[in-house]
Amino acid sequence: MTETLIDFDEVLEKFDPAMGLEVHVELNTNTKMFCGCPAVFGGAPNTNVCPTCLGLPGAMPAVNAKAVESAIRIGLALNCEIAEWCRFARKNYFYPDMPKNFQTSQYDEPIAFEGYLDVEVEGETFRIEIERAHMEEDTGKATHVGGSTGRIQGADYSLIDYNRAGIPLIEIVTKPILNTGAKAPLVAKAYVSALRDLVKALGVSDVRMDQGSMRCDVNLSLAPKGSDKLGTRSETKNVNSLRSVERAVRYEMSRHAGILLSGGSVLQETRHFHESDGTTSSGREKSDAEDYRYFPEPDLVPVAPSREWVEELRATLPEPPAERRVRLQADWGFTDLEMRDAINADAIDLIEETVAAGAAPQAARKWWLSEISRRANEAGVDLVDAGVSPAQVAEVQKLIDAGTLNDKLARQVFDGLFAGEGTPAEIIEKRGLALVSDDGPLLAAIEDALAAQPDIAEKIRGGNVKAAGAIVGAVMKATRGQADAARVQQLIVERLS
Amino acid sequence: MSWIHRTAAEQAAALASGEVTSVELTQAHLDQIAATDGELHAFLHVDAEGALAQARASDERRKAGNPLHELDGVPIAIKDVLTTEGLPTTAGSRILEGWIPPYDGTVTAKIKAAGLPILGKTNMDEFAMGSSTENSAYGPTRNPWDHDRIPGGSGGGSAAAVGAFQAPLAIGSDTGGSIRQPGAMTGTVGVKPTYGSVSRYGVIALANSLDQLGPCTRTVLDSALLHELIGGHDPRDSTSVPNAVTGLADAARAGAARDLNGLRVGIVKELQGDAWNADVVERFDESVALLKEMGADVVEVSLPSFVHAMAAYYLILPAECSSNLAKFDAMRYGRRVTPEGSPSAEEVMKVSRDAGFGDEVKRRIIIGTYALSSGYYDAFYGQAQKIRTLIIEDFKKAFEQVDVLVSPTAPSTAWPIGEKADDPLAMYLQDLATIPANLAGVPGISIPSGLSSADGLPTGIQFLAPVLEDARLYRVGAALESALFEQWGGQITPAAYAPKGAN
Amino acid sequence: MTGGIGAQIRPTRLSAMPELSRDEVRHLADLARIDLSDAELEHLAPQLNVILESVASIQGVAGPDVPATSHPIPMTNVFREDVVVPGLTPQQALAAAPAQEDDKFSVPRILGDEQ
Ligand SMILES: [Zn+2]
Repeated sequence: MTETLIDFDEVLEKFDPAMGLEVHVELNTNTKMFCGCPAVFGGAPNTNVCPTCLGLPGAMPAVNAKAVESAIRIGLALNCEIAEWCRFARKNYFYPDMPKNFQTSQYDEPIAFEGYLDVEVEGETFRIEIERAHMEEDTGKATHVGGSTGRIQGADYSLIDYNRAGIPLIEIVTKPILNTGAKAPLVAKAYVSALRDLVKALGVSDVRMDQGSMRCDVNLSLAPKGSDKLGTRSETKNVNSLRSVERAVRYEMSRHAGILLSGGSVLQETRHFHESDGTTSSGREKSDAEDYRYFPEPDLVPVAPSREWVEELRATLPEPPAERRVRLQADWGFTDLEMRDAINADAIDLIEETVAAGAAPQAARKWWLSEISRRANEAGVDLVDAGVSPAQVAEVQKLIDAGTLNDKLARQVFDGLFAGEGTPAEIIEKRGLALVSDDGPLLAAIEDALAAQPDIAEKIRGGNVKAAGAIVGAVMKATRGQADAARVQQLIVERLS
Repeated sequence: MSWIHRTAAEQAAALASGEVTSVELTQAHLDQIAATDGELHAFLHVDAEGALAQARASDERRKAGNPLHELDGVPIAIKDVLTTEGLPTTAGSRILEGWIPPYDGTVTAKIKAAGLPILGKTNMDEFAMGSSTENSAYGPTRNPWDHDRIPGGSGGGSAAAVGAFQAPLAIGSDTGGSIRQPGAMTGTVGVKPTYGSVSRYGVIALANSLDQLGPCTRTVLDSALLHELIGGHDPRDSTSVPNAVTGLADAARAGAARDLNGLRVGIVKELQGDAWNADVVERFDESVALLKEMGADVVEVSLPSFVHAMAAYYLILPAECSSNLAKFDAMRYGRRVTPEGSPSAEEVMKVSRDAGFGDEVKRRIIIGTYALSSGYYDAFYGQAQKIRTLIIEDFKKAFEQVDVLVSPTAPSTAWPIGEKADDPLAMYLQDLATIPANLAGVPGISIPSGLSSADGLPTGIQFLAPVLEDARLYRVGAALESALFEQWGGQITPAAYAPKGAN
Repeated sequence: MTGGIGAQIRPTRLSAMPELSRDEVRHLADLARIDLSDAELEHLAPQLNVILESVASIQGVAGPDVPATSHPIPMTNVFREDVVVPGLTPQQALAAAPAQEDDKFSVPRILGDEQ
């Protein structure tokens, strides 16, 4: 079906968007939410399973303390209230990837509720209100066999791996996000980005959208401009990159407007986002008949975090990422552009550690964003996995500052580090990379060069200091780059003056 | 008297003294099963080979002077609701036909760790839904007292096995009376422990907030011994209470001295009246008279919310079970029925569940689905949970006045097979007296109170105690049992299974 | 679930005498994934109404001041340490599977989307 899409500016003339974002964060606990199986997805199928997460008759759940702790910390970081008493509840629906045919989740008693997260878009701050954050378990993973596409539609049958079933999830749900107008797509993206940074700073999840450890559902509706009545919403599932969040909001706004302006009504339905072209397509219609028959999980007792525990956990919260960035930028003296590049490269932590290890901020930034970024890109790995540690970068920089290395030699040291040849000192030793710091060999080389190029020597004597460059070049060549060029220059001038 | 007619405590003593071996005991019970179970059908699965192997290992331990437990070597039967690694576990349902669990339930593990040979798995109403064992997908169990009658349910298999001397000990599960009511129907002892005091890990859940495993035996002391073995905290059951209930066998032994001076006994006002058959009440009154003779103070107490217990129960149970039984969808285990054509997973689930579940299971799933559904939750499930609060409060108030409560276990004696099969409500009424204990989590015991003057079948009397005060049940139960045994000249035994001559 | 969001999500629909039609029973059976035949519907629906009629007696018995009890023994905060314990092998996990392929459970084609 082709959709009638309305130009974004025209949408904004006639409608106000309302968004709701539901983000699932997979926790990085050792074990699953309700059993002692490793919370590791991937690997050989059905290897991380037990009677509980397979839903075998008779098996029972037991709550992972660390997952509760992580949920409370996420709640606190989002400025939420933490429930004094709450229960798990069963969400009943049949689906083959769900072993018990109910998901153990929370219903009207979430562990955290009524919070907010401030995000900044183009200099304007938006307060995103958080309705709730609750604990639940992930489902298994189905792969679809047969048919043409490997997709669920048209498949002959499906194969299910339950390794993922039971991995702890925290679902974070916003209240309707209103009054964002043209910035709606950017606000959505900024919120998910800020949430990702926050959860990452807490250290409770890998928050890798590309790997599914953070997943976003985008609810969107349009109301006629000025009306305070919310329209019918669509729910776009599994929007799995920051860019896609922005695109999905933008697309749905245009699509809804197309329907509404032609006199139609928007279906309350689930939609799928397509990364390839930024469109959405219809999934399952959400009918009122859908009835999850929630009730309190009788196999688990209520969770009642003591206020002392909550305060203990509050004390463990890291500095909020936004505040931390402001502080670091001031400390480091970076320009806005430099800071943004560092953030985009995911290099903030690395630079901070490098600085802590003794390097100057600008030097740390330079190495991480140029040499090491380039190599990480070539290898197709994240910066943090590039194979060099902040301590090593700081050590290399120290050697430069001490005159032992120049930038060119330093790059060769990095070659050695990437090749795993040992510490910078060992690589310098093995590769013979240190600058020649003794003047004796340099003076000898200068004498040789002057003798070989008497005309240049004459020019220098005549006051043309620039001509010394040729002699420096010759000396550098003779010492295979291991001379400190500035020192050579100085020695030449002294020799001829 | 042959070995099988002795109590578990006597069998244990004979093992300890070297009078008998576990292999001999186990073989004797297997022989009894072979001779009688064709007719009785108390077992769904008999593991002769496994039981004898465990018996041989037990005898080795005895010989080496290292028995694992007082009951090491005394054979036991397990209700088919509890998982047993390597032994079929069906919960009496067609949908689990042939399922062999890859793990032991906690109570199974405790039984194995104590060295009791497991004779096999006993019959039950499908998923423990019923009061007659007629709802078993594998056919009914018969009452040892009259093969044309039901043995009670849902644990009719365990009660009949114990009553017919096929096993000295059996594990039952009690969600609304499934241990106690079959005890009453078969002239045996059955105990529902305090909720959370025996692990439910491995119990195929009917209603998680009501279910509790417990002992089925022929004497109060035997129940106490088994109860102590299976009880205790289990980290795999999050509703498990922190400390084990203790002193049960001591309480039973002390009770046998028949001194009930100072014990306050409350007759439940709401568990009397027209619903109770005169022959049952007759035996009940005699037992109460015996309690008084032994020094108990007997008063009548009122627990007014009991009148709503059955309705609350038949909402809470279906609600929980409708969700518990969703997992039986023929995707990961169990019997898959595939209709013609190229059916979807959803269609296969529906057809498999229709074929795999019996009528009572379907009725309860549908009622439970209704009670939880949007728009009806508050009026049904929510309301039932409030009734539960009222019943707990009633118990609290009553236990301020008395130490234990007493009532007949069931309104009638065993009825003919088929009589109530298609009348669910008549069947539900059988659990009138037993249900409140499950709603409140309190412990209860049923012991035989005699034989009906009308039909000669056993009648039962039930005691209830406060949460964690299970020991009180053993004290008063053992006292009454002792007094009754003296009147009867020993335990009452169905004629067809009575001991023939001396050992 | 007392009060709170649940109370708003679930409108209370008190009916003195609930009566399930054949269609309603069929709908409930669909929700519960049971493929009831017409004959079964004919047989079960009246029985269900008898049961419902008897349990409907509790409507209105307990007022709003009575809290609901979901767990008979009140306990809170029962947690497990975040420590791996051995589970099942794939062979054990799949031993009872009606169909399997490549160490995965094989199920018929799935209608509808993930939730
Ligand atoms: Zn597991």
